[in-house]
Amino acid sequence: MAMMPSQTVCVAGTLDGIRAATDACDRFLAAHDLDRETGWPVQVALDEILANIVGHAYKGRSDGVIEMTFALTGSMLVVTIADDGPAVDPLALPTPDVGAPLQDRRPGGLGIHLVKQLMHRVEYSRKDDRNCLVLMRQLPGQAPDEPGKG
Amino acid sequence: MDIQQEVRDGVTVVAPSGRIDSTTSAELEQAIGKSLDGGNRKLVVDFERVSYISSAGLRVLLVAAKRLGGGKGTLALCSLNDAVRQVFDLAGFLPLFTVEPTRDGAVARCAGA
Repeated sequence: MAMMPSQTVCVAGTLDGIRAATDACDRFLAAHDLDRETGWPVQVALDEILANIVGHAYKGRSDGVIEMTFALTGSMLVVTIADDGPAVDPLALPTPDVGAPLQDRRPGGLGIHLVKQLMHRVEYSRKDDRNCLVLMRQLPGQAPDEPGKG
Repeated sequence: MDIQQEVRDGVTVVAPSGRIDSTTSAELEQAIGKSLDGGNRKLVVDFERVSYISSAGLRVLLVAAKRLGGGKGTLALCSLNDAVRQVFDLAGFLPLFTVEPTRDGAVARCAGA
């Protein structure tokens, strides 16, 4: 298998950890000359997933660690995020009603909805007692590896 | 996060900067909350200096809109870049808010409401 650019970062499961993760993502994007159009959707998706982990999976825990890998594979920017909290498949959460009037709007579920919309593919798996979420965003001007959205 | 504020024609303008995400949204929430606590009922949030927003930021705006009673014209947003606009659109938030291209336009809409 050919070498591909990738970088693994571990951060604490706290707001400070999210800040560190966002900075690491910024650095990876800059190091590989990825433009803003590729970058911001990945940053938003990353924030949604990490906020879910810190707010739910690691709630009440101070020793939680989140491991992320940023990688360029073929035509995709791939971000893999792993935590060792309780098994939760965020992709299975109900989709919020984005057409509801203001008084019926609830913020819950909106983040995962955004992740699904902003990424070209998202995959969840549970392995070795860890939640593993893979976010994939097509690079501009590249033919897709596979058609369709995840 | 650097948040600028001004009051113009009786309208409070709150202008955050950079990313509005889970690590910064509390600051925006505090700034808006303080303004509303002080009795302001006409609010503009100016996104001119905002790079992107995640659902943590959307939640802050949802709370503000609900506090203002959902009356259109009392909360207006302006100067949304493509990234911010796209997130609003995907979340179905655009119909919930008065959105103006410029701060002047947003202040005028609020002041006249």
